[in-house]
Amino acid sequence: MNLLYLTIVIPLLSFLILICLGRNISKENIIIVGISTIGLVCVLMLFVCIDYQTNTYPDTSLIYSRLLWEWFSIGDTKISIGLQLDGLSLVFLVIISLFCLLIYSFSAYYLTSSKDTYTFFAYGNLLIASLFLLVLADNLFILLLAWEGISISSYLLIGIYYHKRQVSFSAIKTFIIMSIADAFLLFGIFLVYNELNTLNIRDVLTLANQNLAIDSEIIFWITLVFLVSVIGKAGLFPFHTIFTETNIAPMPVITLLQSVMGILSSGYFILRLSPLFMMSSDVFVIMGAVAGVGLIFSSCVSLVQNNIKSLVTYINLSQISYLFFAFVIQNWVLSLNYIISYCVTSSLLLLSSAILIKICNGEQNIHKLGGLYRRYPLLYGTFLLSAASLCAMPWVMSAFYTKGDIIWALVTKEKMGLGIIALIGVLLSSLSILRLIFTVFHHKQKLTTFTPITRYSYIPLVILVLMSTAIFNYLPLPIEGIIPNVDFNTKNQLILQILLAAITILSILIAYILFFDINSEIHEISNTPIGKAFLKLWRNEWYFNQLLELVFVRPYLYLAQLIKKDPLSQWNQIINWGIRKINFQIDLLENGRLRWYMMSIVSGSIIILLLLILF
Amino acid sequence: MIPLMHSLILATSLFIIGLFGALIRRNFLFLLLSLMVMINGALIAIVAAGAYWQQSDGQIISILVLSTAIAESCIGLALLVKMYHRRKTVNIDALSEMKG
Repeated sequence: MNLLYLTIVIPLLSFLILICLGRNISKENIIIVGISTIGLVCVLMLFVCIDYQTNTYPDTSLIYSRLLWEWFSIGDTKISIGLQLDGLSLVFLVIISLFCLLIYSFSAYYLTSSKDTYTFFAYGNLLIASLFLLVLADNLFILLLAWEGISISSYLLIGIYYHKRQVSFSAIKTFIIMSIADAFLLFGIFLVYNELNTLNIRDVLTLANQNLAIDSEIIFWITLVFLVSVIGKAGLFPFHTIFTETNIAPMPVITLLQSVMGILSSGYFILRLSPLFMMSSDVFVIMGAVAGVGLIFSSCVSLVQNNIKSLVTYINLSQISYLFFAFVIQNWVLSLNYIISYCVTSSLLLLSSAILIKICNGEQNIHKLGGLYRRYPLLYGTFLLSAASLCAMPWVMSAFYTKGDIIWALVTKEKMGLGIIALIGVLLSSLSILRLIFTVFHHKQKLTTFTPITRYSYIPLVILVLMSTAIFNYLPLPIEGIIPNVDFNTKNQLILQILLAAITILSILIAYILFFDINSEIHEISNTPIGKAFLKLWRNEWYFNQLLELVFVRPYLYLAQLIKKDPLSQWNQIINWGIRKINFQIDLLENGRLRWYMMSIVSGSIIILLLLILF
Repeated sequence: MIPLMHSLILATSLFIIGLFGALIRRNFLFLLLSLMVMINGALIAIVAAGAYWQQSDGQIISILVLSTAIAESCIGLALLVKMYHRRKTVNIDALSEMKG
């Protein structure tokens, strides 16, 4: 376990190697470097897991912590760089390395050009390094460092096709919004330090428990600020732009960012600080409201998208809300399970649509595709299973248990409104994925030429499909004693499970009626004034970007225009002008005429004489 | 006996008239005349002061100064002739060639 720091160093080294040499080496070598990096990390993970299992430490919550060096000190505060491993970190480390391995091996077949490949692997390695740093950090300040690393690497990843103007704009937009979230984390760190005089996470948690009152104002503000920054990283409703802007990147990047980066970093953060969050009940109300709004927002938008990428993105966005629902009911074990389930589902969905887009020569409009199920049964199967996972197919998919439990807990904890929203979300997201499937796989075939794809690309998909089924439900996670365990009322849960099953069947029915054939009813519905208005609203993503533009961008530009000339420097200009005028006048005196010089001497002496006489 | 103040006022006014003449006029001849007026003003002041203190030093100095002033105006007149010979003008600004 002493080699733990290598998990951060290896990806960083690989990042440096690729960024320096990637331009000059062939695609195969780039792939070898990229895959071997993550492979090495996975081997290390294996050793760490074995170490963890065989350790006979008396305490069940084994903490491995190691001080690497002291970074800097201000006054009495010492900021040290140290690593810390416990069960929670271990779970996240394993998830990160496993999913990155899957995505990397997929992208080795998927990415074609050598330039994309090396930039993807390089920046991906940077992202992995920052994620590992985040998970292993023992100190809030290191956590901030890791978050900044995540911001910068997602900026780089989105901007892989940077020579396109739109891509650069998206990358910058993402980076700015993420930086706002990071600034909130910084505020939170300041607040914590101001109250508790320490930044070490374990100390913060114990001291907060001892010194601060539950539901006190300071706790509320600390957790609120942390919540805002977490929402910013996860891409939940007001910050969802960072999530949707990833659309513009290549598919493996989208997968890496959407299914690994956002949810794991934010989920880890809240789970790690869960004792702090549990001290403030008001924040959970805000969290629930934000998650609910985000769920409705994104699932409505996903219902009308025609582009495969943005459809899948909005579906994933709506799924993130369930994680926050799990946090709202303060069932931390369940939320950890949901994180795994989300990662599996979203990467399954994204990787299958990556293959779909690749097969159809880069065509992304679902209405230009059709009738693919006979030709690509395997792809059809993976899509169906991801749909089943999304609509929480009863008793088959693991998502049924996690999502069902979340909804059940919402209902039993007297958060009926959120429960209903969650159920509507299930219905809407399954409708939108079924719309995609029916349109792409069942309608009349429109494309004639297809790009062939190797069978190896399906390997990660098969693994993901296996993981998404109920076989891997409730893994034995070593989190005893680290995050608080909440007793869970499973009485009468069968009613809810039957309800979920009914919703699944209902959504399949509705989708079948509406989308299976090219249906006149859809046109009738969408041609009514209300239908038109809603369609327009949802196609334009509730005009949220326009709102942002109106509220933030326009005033900013106006202000910038206003102070472009720098009003403060006007004073300097006046002084400048005056000096120049005086200079001009004095300049006139120096004309080479002796008479003028005499005149000035005389007037000077007169003045002196007068002064002498007067004083 | 003329009071001292009167002669001093006369001397000052002569000096100032000469000074302004020297400042304002461009004609070289008038310039020389103004210089002479200035010197005369100064001489009057010296003589008046000598008379005030009942001493003859003032008059001696005035004779000395007068002789130097005559020498000076002789040189000036020679320069004037030379200038007129060259430039066909007595305007002193015509000599300003060095531009400051």
